[in-house]
Amino acid sequence: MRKLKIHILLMLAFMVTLSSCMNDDALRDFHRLVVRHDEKAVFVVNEGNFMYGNASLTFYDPHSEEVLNDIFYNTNALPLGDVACSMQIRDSLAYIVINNSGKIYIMNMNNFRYVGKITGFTSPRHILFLSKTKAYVSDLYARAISIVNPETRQITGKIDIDNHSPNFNRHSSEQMIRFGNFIFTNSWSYDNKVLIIDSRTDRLVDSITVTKQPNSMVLDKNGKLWVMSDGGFQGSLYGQEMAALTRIDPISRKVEQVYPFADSLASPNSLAINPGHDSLYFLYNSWAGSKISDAGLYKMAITDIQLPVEPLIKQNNRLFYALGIDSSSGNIYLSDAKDFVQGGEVLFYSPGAVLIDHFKAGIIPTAFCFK
Amino acid sequence: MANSQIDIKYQMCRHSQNRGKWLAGRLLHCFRNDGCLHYSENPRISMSKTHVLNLFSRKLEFIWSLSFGNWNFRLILFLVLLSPLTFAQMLPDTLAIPEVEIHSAKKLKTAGLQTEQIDSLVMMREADVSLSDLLSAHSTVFIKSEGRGALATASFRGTDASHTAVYWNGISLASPMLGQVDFSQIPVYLMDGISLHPGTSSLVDGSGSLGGSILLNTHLNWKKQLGIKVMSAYGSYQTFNHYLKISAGTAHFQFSTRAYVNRSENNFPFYNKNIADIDPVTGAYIYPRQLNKYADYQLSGIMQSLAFRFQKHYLLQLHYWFQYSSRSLPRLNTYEGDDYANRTRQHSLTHRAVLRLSRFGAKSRLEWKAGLVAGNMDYRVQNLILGKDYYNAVNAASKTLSSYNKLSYEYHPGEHTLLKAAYDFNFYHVNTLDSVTQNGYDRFRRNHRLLASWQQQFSPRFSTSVILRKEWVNQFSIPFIPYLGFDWGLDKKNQWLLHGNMARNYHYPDLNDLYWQPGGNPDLEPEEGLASELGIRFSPNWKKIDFQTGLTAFYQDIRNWILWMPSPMGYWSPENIRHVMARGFEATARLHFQIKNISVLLKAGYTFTKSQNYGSADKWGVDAIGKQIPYVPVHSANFMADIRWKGFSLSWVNDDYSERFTTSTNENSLRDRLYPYFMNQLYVGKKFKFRQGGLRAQLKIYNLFNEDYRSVLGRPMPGRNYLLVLTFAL
Repeated sequence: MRKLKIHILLMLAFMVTLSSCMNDDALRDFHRLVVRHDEKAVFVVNEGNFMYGNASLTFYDPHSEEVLNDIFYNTNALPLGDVACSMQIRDSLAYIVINNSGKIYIMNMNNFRYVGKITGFTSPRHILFLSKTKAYVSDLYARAISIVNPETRQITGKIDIDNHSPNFNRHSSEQMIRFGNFIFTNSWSYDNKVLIIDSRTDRLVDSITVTKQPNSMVLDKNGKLWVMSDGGFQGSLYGQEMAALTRIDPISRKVEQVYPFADSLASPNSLAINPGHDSLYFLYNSWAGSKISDAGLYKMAITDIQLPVEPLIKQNNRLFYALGIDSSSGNIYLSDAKDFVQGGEVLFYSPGAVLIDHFKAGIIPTAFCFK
Repeated sequence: MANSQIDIKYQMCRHSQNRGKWLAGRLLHCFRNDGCLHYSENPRISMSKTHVLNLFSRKLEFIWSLSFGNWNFRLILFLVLLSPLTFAQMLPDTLAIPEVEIHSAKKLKTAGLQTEQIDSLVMMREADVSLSDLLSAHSTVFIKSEGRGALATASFRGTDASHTAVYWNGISLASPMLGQVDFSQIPVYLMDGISLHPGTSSLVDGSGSLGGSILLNTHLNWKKQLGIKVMSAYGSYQTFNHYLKISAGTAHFQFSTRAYVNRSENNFPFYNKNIADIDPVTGAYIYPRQLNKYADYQLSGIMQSLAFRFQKHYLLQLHYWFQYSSRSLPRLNTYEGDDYANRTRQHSLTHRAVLRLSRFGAKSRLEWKAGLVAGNMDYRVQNLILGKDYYNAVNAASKTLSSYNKLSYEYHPGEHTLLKAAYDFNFYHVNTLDSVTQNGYDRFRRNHRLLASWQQQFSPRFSTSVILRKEWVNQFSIPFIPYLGFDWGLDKKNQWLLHGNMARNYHYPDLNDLYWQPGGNPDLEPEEGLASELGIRFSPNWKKIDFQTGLTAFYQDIRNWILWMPSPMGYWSPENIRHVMARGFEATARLHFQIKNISVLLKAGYTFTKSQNYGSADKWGVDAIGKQIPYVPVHSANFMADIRWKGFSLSWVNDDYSERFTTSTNENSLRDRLYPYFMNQLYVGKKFKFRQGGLRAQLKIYNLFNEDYRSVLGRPMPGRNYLLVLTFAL
């Protein structure tokens, strides 16, 4: 029996050692990153996995080739949140829109410190600055564009874009482009509109019908608006159209030209433009599960009369997820999200599509921002 | 050896008015001559030393014993994990109503089979919780839970949650859409017996469960007595769980009715250190203290069981279970959007029914079983539009219907042989539609299954089993699924037992994998697993100490593992892209003894799992090759110490996992670290006896050390919290 008691005591002692505390504080009490960087830099917004809250920010200095992953967390001991979507720089501050956390984080661009936030959104996507005290924030679900004051960091109003449609063709807002006093925004999800907001009255004033699901837009040097539509997907009751690129005259608000794609599996996206605003770039691939030939990055001059047939950069085994063009150097940045549950890779090329280098970023690199 | 065992068996037989015949020196099967069901009328048979064998039947549902005239069935006693019976007997705690049924010793057990039985003492202590909480604290299964009352899935031995099958009275509880079960939605209270068949052992229950299977059973006893049991639990965060059970019957007809209501606001407070305001003066962070809002849940239902014995050879059983569930899906702890901006809620209504008719012959058993599961699930995400009203952003309604039909026949040509054949026809229909996007699918599936098995005992110490399965899913023919197992007693007393098996298994894609809109991939291949295991068990016949221990090594190679991958613009689609090698070992030990009037139970389990990705580097990138599958801990362990003295009880439950990775490359930044998890619970109880019936009060303390922790990303977890459970039984 005595032996037994010793046995029990040993066992209990073992359990006590195992029950030592879980160290949650280690997630905050670490030596935080202190940096100062005033030079040019590339930021990669990594959206992370939906409902994991593991969005992150990657810093890359093209000069020194230094890569700092998780720069926001390592500097601030705060996670960015769930599904980071986009980042805009205004003066010395960066505004990072975090879609599924309903907020915008504001970060000092030189030391990457967290300086504040704008909260209270529904499903924010992008921010467009109109003045020191006014910016618009697009939203996937709110059926409204939020008006914010970047100085007070408050939401000051909403622009109603609700068309009261019960299911399809409900208006949402995605990217925003300013043309004079008018803001053009594409309503991507199950809709086929480019909406026009008058920034003086903060009201929806007009809309332009395009091919289904316009996902990205750019403005060229001639003041023409180019809109990329993926056309929806096969089997959807919303109906699929052939994906198409559309050129719009923002003054007359008329569609000037439509360039439809030939493959119904194609889902082109991520339309971007070079610094000279005369060449378009876009990613041409498809929804997962379907393979299309010649997937990759395509380039097209704004004067071309038809879509390009050969990719500028072939995708091969990769799956290009995001595209960014550095507006000063014209370098092309592409991301590969790999299996989506590991850090993605960023590859960058000269304007002539020669691979310069590549580096590892965070989980699902979704957008680039150039300082 | 087994004097005490013979005593027990003798008593069991005596209670069923039988004369047991035993072959010298070995515990044998106890039999009856009248062909009727075998059961115990006395729940307090002294079995302190027993080891009930008989893990033969994969459905522990209702156990019976056959008459074989003067055939003496000779069975080797394999000392396995204790059957719930054993435990119930040991409990001075047992209330007037027996908590478990007797599983009489019967027939040959499937050789090589490994069964992990949940102790009935544990079932009693945890009667008020969900199956996910029970399994995470008391079994080798890994439970991934998104929080209190939220979705919880189970995985065995480094496989996926869709590789775990769950059977309730022999029918699958998995959703035909997802092939998964939400373990938070199964109250332990409804079950009388819970056992696990890890790995290849699951092939005795059915195919496709590459990880393992979990058997939930409702038993009826044949007592001529009215039983009423009421259990009420009151806990932190406005948690109320109420359960009622009424049972009654005669020697030929029995019924039991169980009803339950569980609800919790689940609004626990926590310091949210994932968001911060900046103090304008000092610049320091101010972490807000928040409530876990929008996390309430409610679960209620009724379960009705009926059984008839007639014409000596027949048993008819009917089980019906209705459940309503409603829960809100909370936001992540990084959310700082408008507090009213959105709400997400899931409702489900489920009807499940099983009808089974068994005929017990002299050397055979014929059984027909029909099961029906109808589920309605509604998942809604709503957004507040312009401060006016909530509109659906997602409104997905899913209707599922599963019909299970099975005819099985068992035959004993001799005392050392058992042959079995079965035919299953299952039908599934899924209709799912999101009324906002109009995405959905309406598909059905027919599934034919054939089974043939042969169990042979070649010598008192050596036996083998062969199982062959063949299946068709619609027109698709799944290759043969074979199982081969052996048991080998290493010493004369069979205290040391070596067991092993190997098998091939296929998991056919679930309906969502094939047809989900958008993204479903109709070209998916079935997942293929090649597995084997080898283990040793030691169950000595010590006089005053009840001890068992076992060690099992396992290995499984899974090809064509289906994984959902996202694509640009957020659509996901499944592909057969993973090749996984899962290997490791499980060790369990259980010790029970009594010092004077103090009864002590110590129980421990440990699993080592290396489950690694060996898919193509082209697809995964070289960094992910050879890495541990996300959310599979390499080490997991659980301990329980339970001490009883004069109606008082004290239990300590401890549950541990090593770090889980959330990335395929196992590179987790500090931000995403799921550090090792050590959870402690303490239960204090006291039993009161009245002239009629009894009352048991139990206070449970969860998160004993009030730790701040996380077990999945982005979700807050409650601090120390309490639950008072009062059980009254008549």
